[in-house]
Amino acid sequence: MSARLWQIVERRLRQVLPPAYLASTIGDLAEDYERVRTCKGALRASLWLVREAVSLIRAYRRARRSPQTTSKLMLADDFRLAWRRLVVHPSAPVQCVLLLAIGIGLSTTMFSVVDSLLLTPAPFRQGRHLVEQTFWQPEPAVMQAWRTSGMFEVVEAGRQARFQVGDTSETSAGAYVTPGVFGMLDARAVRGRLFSAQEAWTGANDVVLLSETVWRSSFGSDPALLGRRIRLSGTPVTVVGIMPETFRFPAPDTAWWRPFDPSAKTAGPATVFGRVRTGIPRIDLERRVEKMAREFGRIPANYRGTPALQPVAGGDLGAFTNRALWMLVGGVTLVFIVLCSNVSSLLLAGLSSRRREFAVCAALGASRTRLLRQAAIEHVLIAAAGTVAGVCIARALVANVPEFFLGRSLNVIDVDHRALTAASVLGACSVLMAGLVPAWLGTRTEPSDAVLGSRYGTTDGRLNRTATQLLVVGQVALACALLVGSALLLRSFGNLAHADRGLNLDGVVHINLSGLDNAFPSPEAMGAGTNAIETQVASWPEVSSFALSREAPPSVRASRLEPQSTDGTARETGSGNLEADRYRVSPAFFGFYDITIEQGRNFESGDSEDLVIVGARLARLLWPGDDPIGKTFDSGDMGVNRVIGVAGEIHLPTLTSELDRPEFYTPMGNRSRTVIVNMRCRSACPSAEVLRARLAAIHPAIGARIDPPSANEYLSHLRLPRALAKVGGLFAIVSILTAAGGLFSLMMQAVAGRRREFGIRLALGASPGQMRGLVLRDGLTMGACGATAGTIGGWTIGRALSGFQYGVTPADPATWAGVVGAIAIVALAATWCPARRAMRIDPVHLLREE
Amino acid sequence: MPQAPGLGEFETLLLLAILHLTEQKVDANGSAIRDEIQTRAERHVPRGSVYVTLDRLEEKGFLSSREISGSAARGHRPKRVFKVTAEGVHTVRSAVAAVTKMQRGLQDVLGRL
Repeated sequence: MSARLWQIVERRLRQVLPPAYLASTIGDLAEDYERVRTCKGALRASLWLVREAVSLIRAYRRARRSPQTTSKLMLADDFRLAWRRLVVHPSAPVQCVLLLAIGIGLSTTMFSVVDSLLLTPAPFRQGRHLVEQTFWQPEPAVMQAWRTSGMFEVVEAGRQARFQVGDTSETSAGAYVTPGVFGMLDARAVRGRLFSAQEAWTGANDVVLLSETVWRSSFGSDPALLGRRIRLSGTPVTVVGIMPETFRFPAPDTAWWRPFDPSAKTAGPATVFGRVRTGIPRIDLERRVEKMAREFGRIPANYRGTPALQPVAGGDLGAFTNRALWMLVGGVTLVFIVLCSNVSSLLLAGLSSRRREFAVCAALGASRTRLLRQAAIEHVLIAAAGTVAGVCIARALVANVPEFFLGRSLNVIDVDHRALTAASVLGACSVLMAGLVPAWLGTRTEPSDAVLGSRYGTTDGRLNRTATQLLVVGQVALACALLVGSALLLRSFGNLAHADRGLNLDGVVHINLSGLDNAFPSPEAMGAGTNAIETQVASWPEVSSFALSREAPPSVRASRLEPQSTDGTARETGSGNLEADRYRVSPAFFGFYDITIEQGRNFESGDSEDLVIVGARLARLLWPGDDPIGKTFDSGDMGVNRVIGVAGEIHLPTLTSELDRPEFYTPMGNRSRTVIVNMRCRSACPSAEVLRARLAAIHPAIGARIDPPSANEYLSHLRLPRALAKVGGLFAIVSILTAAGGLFSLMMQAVAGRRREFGIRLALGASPGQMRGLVLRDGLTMGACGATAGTIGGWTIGRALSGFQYGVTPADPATWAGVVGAIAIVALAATWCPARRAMRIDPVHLLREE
Repeated sequence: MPQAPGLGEFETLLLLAILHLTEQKVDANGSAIRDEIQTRAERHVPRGSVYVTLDRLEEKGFLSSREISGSAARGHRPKRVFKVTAEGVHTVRSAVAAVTKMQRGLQDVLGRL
């Protein structure tokens, strides 16, 4: 064992000792070892040898260290000290980490979503240079004009569509695009090929590209799909390629692409896309594009709308949702400020004790740099932990971004590193500033003052208390403002959800009949066919009631016209034309939907198409104060109509008030090629296949599709208000809880700092109830100050949110009463526990401690 | 007052121990020096500190060392023997003198040393 031990010792000493002195030093050690072994035995000599060798190794290692190494060791010591301190007193650091994490997570998520939807251009080559303009029909002449204008590098076109895949009734989003679109966007297929130029021509266009997502989900990633024929909306097409999952164009949910020939006479709107040459000013571009459109007669002479030329944006939200997103950004910024100020107030609350600690350390010889470094390390650790946790929260939130946003972004929504860095830096600054102040002040304080102050001081430092109180009041104010905003959004959502729609949609199912133009080519045949369909539906045993119409509510499914009164009082509607929805309905329509006929009469079979029933609102707008029965108006495409009745108003409750238009009804007539069967079933409705089979008895060309129920359309208009109310509510809850936590910490700290004062007061005869009242008064005063300051912020936020309110105003008394009550309850709850602690102070116990 | 340049308490003890061993005609190697300090100053001295300090004092020029052949007990490894240089003697004298001067008049407080 001895030989082996000596081998180890020699090897280790060789690593450390200078080679010149190695032999002599080991010789000394060996000589002494023999002496010890003779006196004390081999075992104890071995232990002695180890001890002596360790002493040599340590001493030489220490001697060899450079100043940099020493500095590194000190740094390591500082880290160790900081870690130990955080572990021993984990309460405040853990709270700070949590608050920072929530703040960083929320703000990063919000900014990432906004960046993806609003700020980042479409994810294609030179995405900022891509523009689009939509026309009512394909416009080869306009495309040619764009090409020859010299303003565009590339001009292509496309049209969105929905395709029925195979024999299923499900439809999927797709698009017809010119073959050059892929080159313009620099897109490549992950498998197969793109369209060739010839494949745009009619006759050669039976090819299709599909998304990788569909390839995986619907075809099980089958590599043999390429070249196979599949049926798309009844047409056999050959799959020629598979596009990457990240390729989203022209809509975020587009999964199928077919070649598009702009010169073909196809119905439906088409969009012209172009990549603008570098250096063309946007204003010139818009002016020239509009001029071209006017030259081709594509824009009416009296058109006063916004420019039709739009950038191909990363997100497709519409101005209204854009504004909502920016409001949410404002909200999350306020929440972030609340959280950061709470972190600061938490750290400042322990200012006096940390000041004493640092002062004593300074008195014991610690340099100011060392103390500041220790404090910085401690708070950097807190900030780092908060950032790491914030990143995790942001990742989790971004991964669960509502479908509402995901389905509207051409960009893939991911954590934005710029937002993350900015939030982390701001959060770290708030931690470091609040953490370094005590260290700085501590090194400037006389140790005797600090120690005496702690022993005989009755209250905490005034500066410290004032700073912390101001931070807490600020938090309460911001929380109050956010609470007002979210309460208004919640009330708006409630109002929207319970608003009167003016019609009964319970159990309504819409059957959309197609192929009628083939089945009934002439108006006479169409009239007879419609009657046959009515008779057929009436015989279905599952159907309890039904009505035929060409359109079905809500208004987004109706035809939009611009009626103008041809008699009676001139209408004064301010700027813009009056838009109204037209429903072509059978006489049973009103009874089916429980829409009352307030004046005049319902339609009867055989009524001519120039007779109309107007909604109550349209009647008021066209003939205010007059009896509308017998009045006439020009509805645009149908000539002059005569009013025979006034129906109860139907509403589309939505934040976008222009969608809730007035309406009028005309008889179904024989001109339209669409028929919708509005029906209610006794139990289960027949499937589309059964319906098609039954309708084939009338004519085999008639197709039937079950449309989503109208209730879905109404619910879709609640999605944005619901999302706003949810996110606003989340912000308000986070901020109010944070403010309550800040108030609670401050009051606990204040009670701890004033124990001696309370003890003396109690000894002098004050009652415990008076002590409780003292603390409660302080807490509630701060709550009241915060609420008062928050009133201004709340009013401002309420005004800013006025576009998102429905049936409620920023001055809504119930909202304000609720907010003030909530603030009072929170302030009382946060102060109650510290107040009870103050009440239970025992003077005798306190004196014993002294 | 002249001041011994960069001589700490332990360094002074080491120099004095070597001077004692030299006076006794004993080879002043690391072990002997350590034993001398432990015997005379009656305190434990880590081996590592002795060797590192000897190297440092040699670098400063207060000591010189030479190697002589070692005995069988030490595996015939060489023995490094130290000797205080003239500069070292001067420096240790200054340091001891300063301490002696400082303790004058403090017999009542410190007692006889």
